[in-house]
Amino acid sequence: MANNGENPSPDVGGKTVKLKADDGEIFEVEEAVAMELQTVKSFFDDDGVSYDTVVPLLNVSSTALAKVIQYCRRAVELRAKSGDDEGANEKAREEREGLEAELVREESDEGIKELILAANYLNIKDMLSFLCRAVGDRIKNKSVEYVRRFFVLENDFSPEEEERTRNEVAWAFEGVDAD
Amino acid sequence: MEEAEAERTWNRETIPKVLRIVSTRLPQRDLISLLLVSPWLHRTLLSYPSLWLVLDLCEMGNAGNRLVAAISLPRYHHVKQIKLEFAQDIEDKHLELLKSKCSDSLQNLESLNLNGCQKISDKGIEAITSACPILKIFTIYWNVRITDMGMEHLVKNCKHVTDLNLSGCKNISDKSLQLVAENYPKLESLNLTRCIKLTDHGLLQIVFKCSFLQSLNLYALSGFTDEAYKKISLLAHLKFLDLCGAQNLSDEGLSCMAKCANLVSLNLTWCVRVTDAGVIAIAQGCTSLEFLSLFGIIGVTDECLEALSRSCSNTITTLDVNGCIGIKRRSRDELLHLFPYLKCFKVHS
Repeated sequence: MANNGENPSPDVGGKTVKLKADDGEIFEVEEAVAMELQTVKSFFDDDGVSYDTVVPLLNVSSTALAKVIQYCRRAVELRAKSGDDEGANEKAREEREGLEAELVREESDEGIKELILAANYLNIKDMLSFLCRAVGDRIKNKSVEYVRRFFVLENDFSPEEEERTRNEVAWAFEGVDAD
Repeated sequence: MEEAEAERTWNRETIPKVLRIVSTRLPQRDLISLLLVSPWLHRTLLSYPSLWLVLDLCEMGNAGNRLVAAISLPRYHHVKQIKLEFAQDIEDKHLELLKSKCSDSLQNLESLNLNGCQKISDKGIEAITSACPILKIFTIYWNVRITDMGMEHLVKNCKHVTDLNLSGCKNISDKSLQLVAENYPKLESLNLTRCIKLTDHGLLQIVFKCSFLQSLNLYALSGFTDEAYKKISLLAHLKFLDLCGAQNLSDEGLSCMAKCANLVSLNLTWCVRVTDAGVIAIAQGCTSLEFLSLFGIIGVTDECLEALSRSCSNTITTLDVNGCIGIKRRSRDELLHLFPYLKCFKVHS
């Protein structure tokens, strides 16, 4: 199997799949891990597509794809560890939560968005879910302006609309008298 | 070029998806702040009806006026749950205003929490209940103004109540229990903590007619006797039973309750007449028990723990035997030996 020197190649044993990021970089991943990406899974679900085909992921940067693969690899390992034993399940769950927290903690706002974009495009439900939770945590208790910057949204309220909206929501905030 | 493309994709596809997931996890205040961010976000959030089913005004000042202002907004026309726990400045007149101006918006209300709203009286209850016909959960603890009259309004207007919490409503009498029993045969949960006017007569009405009760809380009610306690055996679906302070409860009364085979949680704190006989009967009948307090009962010995261990060692996770001086082997290790899954050793302080 071709070994791209820029990312560690898995032990040749199981089948692998090749994924191509937007800059042309190729990632060789174990089949089980690749199937975590629903988009990739659908790609191969089509009849007649051989597993040797390189999957083009034009909307995913190589940085994001590397992180996604790293997460999915660990997630698959942890899932294999849990079984009928409550203790093992609990431990695996804690480890997964630790993994998610670590991934999120290291990311800038831009980084999180890039990962969300990737997880969305690649259709990885669990990853999208915890990334969104992280976003929720980041914008909690922040100003409206912060939220605008985070989501890259224009404030195109007219002054009258803005005034009206403020009045409508005044009841929800302490220190502001409702009409 | 690629950056602009990515940004457009982000705006068009990802933001709505992200927001949909994120907004369901935000506290109310932050969610509402999002409405001020941009008109597009405002419209988008309002288009998700599931975000606007709960109205939370717990502990807020000037809550009565805020409540009316909020309910007047179209986005809350299908509100299912209103939380006013320890909200301040909410009075009958606000509930009357809701009835006269916004009763359309309350047609879907299923849960109303008026805990600690001490200014509300029977009049307020009359007003609000007349506007929410499908109410299922009604909780109004620590309100000493409401009387049996308030309960009359509730049962007349709301025919589908399954959860009723009257903890601390000291002016409730047996008449209310009769009304509840006659009108809510499918009642699942009833909390009568500290409703000190209640007697066996009222409790018997409940146990005879509310056969689907799963949770019954009689905390700090020392006026009942075995006459009513024995009949609790009729509640075949009972899972949670709090008898803290039931000083008249005897072994005979407790043994009858062993027929409640689905019991998961039993609080016998200060049930000072109980001895091994009663607890052993429970051990034999209630094999799914997870939570048990015998706090303060001096008449029980190691024998009852052994019986419990024989039938419930797999399920018991909370056991409080503090003050049970008749039990000699009750160190942490000795208890863990009998009940290997035990996690909590203290319930009552």
